[in-house]
Amino acid sequence: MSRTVVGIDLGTTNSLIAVLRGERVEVIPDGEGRSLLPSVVAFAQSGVQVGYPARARLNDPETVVVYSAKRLMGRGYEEVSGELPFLSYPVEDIRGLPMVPDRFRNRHLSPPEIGALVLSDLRKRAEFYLNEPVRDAVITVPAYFNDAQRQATKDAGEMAGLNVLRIVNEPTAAALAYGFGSGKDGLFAVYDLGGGTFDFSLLDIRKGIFEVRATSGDTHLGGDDFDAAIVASWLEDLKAVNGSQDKPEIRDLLRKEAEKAKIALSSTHSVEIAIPALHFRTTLTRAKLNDLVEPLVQRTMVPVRKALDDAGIEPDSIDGVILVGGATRLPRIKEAVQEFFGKTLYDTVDPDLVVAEGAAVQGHILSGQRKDLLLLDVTPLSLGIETMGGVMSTLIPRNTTIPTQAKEMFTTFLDGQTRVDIHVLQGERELSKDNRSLARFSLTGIDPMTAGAARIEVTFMIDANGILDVRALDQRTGKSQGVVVHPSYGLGREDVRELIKESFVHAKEDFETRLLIDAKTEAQTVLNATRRALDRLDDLIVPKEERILIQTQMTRLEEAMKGTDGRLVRNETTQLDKATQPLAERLMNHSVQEALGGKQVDE
Amino acid sequence: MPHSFERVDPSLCWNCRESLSESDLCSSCIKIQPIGHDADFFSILGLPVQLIVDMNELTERFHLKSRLFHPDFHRLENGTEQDISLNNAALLNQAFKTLKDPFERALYYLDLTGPHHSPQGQKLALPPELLMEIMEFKESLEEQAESQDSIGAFRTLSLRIKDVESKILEGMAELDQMTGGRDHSSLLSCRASLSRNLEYRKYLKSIERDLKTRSSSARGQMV
Repeated sequence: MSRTVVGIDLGTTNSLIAVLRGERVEVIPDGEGRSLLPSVVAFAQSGVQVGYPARARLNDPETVVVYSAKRLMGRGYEEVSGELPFLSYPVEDIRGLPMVPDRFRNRHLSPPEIGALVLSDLRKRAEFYLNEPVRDAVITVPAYFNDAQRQATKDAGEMAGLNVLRIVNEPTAAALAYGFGSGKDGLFAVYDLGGGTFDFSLLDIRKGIFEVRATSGDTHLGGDDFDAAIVASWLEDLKAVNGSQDKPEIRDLLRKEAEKAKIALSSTHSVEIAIPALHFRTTLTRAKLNDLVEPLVQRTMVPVRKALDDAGIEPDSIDGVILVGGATRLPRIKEAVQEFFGKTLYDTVDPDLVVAEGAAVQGHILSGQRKDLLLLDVTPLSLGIETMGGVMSTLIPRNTTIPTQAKEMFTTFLDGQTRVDIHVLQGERELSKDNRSLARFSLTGIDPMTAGAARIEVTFMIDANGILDVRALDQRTGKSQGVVVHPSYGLGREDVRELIKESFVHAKEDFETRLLIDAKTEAQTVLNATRRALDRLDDLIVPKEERILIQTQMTRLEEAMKGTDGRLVRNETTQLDKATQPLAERLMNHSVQEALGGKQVDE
Repeated sequence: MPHSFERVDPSLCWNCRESLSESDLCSSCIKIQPIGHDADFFSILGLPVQLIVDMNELTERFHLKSRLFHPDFHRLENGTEQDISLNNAALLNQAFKTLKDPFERALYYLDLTGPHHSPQGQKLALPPELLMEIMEFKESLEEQAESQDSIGAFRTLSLRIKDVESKILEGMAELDQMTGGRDHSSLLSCRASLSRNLEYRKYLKSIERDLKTRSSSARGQMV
């Protein structure tokens, strides 16, 4: 039997899960038929909620509502401190990592743990829909995500009980979903503007092979910034009318209205906004919106030019541009992309769904059921090591096709030195301090010898997920050399293992809770049916002894239902079923007899 | 898990020990075979060691081998196979990246077929008078760029780059024709002039990079 591999788009604002069944990609809806799951988690005394119910509690003072956690994923506290004023929930610096305190449970959650809660919810949704356990998954990330952000996303998946077969870049996934490769060969661009990130990729598609030529992006540019631009202009207006009013609650209120207005302006030319609570009335026209967002639109063109330049491609040699991400619905975006490339825009697949659909296609490939399509992706950032004088020496340049590797020889520079430290960096700048520190690796247990005599070959391997793995080989002995990793940001491997273990404990708890609820529901149904039958039937059909026997079992079941042991409830329900079985058979016989006009059927 | 596979006998399959009729795949157990340590980039792609390469053929071979080795197609197999697949795919990508760019290919070729083949490549010193010329050219370009004519400076530079690149491409074709022939001394002088031109181009490219960063930071200051 082939394995089902689901595709997941873990977005800044919304997340989705999709699967390929037969020939069709299906985006899996929730119980109410909704495809999107808001990437929002709410912590309250009463419990933890995910998705729409969590989002609905945004202004509830008794609840901590966490959103846009993807912006914190795989990053250090220092790095994200600039964003914190825009988040209305608390984020604390715990050992250099941004963590969200859950004051009701006396714990702190890391961004991957928040992501895991969203992923678990999607996983349950898929299990219910497919009626089978779901383990294998492909999760998408912005193409411009660095090593730590990719690793953090993978960790989140594992904490949610998923076996993450692959981390796939969002624009590449989108290209897969468009069904290119089946005859439509050529050079395509993917312009992907999501809630919080912007990606731009150039793909050469030839006979089912999707070869990424270059990718570029901005991990801090998205639809949220468009809303923020509108809010900023309204705050100016408000200030002019009733003095300074820049409070988080007001911002929240304005942001919601801004988002609504922005969406409305994709189809109309003017909207009226009225917020009675603030005595605020205004009109937003599409022209005014275009003015407000123009600087952001121009910002997206910087990565576009960079990728074209890296690949040595002129805009007019591109065959078409695929639009991805909710923010590309904005008419000004379409116009700007059209102006720049002057080529066909592909926007027929819902930009919100297209990434998850592509992830499902990639899942199908990884499940071994499809051999005609292959993605050849690239690493978005150069990888290097720190050398003398704090300069970065590049080992793997950006836009190198992955998997890829680089080998470098290391030695000691002191007599008797037994350890060599390697500082690995990611980025495009000259100096180490201007690049992102990925990790410090220590080669340990080197035999003491004269300086320069040791010869340790270190292999830096970037796998197909874009995640770095470092291995070392002692050239003299041919033995592999110990490598100790100290990640600069993000959780250490030990922490992650611990959290995964913990999440399994929680998963079990969750399972127990679900079992109890299901068992109680079923028990109640059986009890109601039995009670109705006993009330309806006289002693002739139900002899007194039998009636007492059934009633005793009903009491036992009701007692069990007061407890929390789902298995006991289930057992007692089975016992009640058994006790009522003779009666049920007699009744069945009775009704069949009636139906057949009073004839005995058993003889 | 090992990162490289030193096999006792590379002519036998690592898995079933049958002798291999082709190097990539065992015909009896259908397992992919690790690319050997000594394989050069041309042989990894199944191409003859030549300077002039048909780009279509190169791409096609790269795609064909990618379909064989890429980790996506070995995701559900055991650890050893996943490791072989990862290593092979990484080597294949490296080989393709080097060979698809004619100038990188030429540098690699000269190193591979040179008398002192070294994996790290060889340092080649340009004659001092040529270095002087480059320095002067660089200064004149910078002056031009500073006197508000950066477009002109770029144009002068890219003409010079185009010129040396076409010389390199001619030299590559010439060298391919001479290879295997008897005229040893002209072969050597052809090699020498090719590597000098490649080195010269490298300098010009680095001037181009400097000029680009300068002009973009100048633009940044204006904003």
